[in-house]
Amino acid sequence: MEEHAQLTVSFLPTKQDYADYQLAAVEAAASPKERLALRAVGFLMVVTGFVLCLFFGLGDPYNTLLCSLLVLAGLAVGFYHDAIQPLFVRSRAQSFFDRAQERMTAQTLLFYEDRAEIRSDRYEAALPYALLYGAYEDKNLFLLRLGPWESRYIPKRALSGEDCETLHRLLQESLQEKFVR
Amino acid sequence: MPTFYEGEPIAVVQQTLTEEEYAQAALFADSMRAVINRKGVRAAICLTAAALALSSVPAYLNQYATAWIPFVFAGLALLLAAYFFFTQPKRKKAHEAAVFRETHVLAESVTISVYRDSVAAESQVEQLRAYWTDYCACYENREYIVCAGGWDRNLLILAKKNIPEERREAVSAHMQNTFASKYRRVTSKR
Repeated sequence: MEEHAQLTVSFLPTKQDYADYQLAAVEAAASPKERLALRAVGFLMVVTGFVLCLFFGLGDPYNTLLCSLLVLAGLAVGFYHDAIQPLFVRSRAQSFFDRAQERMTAQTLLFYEDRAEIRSDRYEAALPYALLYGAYEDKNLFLLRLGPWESRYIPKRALSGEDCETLHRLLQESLQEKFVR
Repeated sequence: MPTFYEGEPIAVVQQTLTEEEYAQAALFADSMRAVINRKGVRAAICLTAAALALSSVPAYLNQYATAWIPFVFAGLALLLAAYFFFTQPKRKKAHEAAVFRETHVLAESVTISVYRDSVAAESQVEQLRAYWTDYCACYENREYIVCAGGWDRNLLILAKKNIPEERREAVSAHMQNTFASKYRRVTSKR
């Protein structure tokens, strides 16, 4: 008897999908330690800037400018992951999409109880969930991670609300702690 | 639908990569991708900076009482050179090995068919087909042929020991012809 997929998704990637995917891939691969370290360094730079300004900057425009630059650099470092990196990633992804649009072919993903199947015109896979490195979900898409730097994605726009719930439940049950939301 | 060449493959390669092989091949591809990625080049830049800093010592002594700034700068540049030459390659290799361990599909046994216009890789869980033009470049050394920048998988690694001996030259010549200026071959061990 033929096995029926619990969920089937087909989509043709758009520029927005691809940018969301790149951003999610970077987010999923980001190390919490690195994030924390950048925040701490940024915070220290901002505090140092204010303290130096208090002691050496008052009345001296040159020192005030240097301290202000230190504070601004601290803000840039501290908020790099939240504000600056997404801008870079999106911009790079969108320009790559413009160059490689003809290679962004339609994909179909079928989710079974024990595996996910991926079909496009050049790639086919039947991946048992145990073989996956993990899965990631954000407000725009689901990410099936084959490894730290390799993944497939499913944009939520291609799923109904009910399908999103089904996929969320399936990944949660199959991957447990390897599924990150 | 893409139309692939339907004739006989140039070679069929059966292989199961090990962590060591993957790390070596990935590191080799990384070093070939850009000149600046090579440990020798990075170390040489730092050594040049150190030499320049030391060469400014007489001028410093002439101008100031001490010359600790160029010495500190030269020391840092030497340390950086040592890091680039000895430590960073080990860290990169460890990183690639970790990528291999965590990407379970890379450890699967795979049959790679090298065709005139494309490559087909088939394992128990995946079937991948790509035109050679999908890849950005091809690098070859004594042990590996690595095509980099693929669409569905970044690296296509062919360990030469797995290519049937009588087909090795044919595969190598085919890559050279297909990738033309994007093909790089090194004969020394790198």
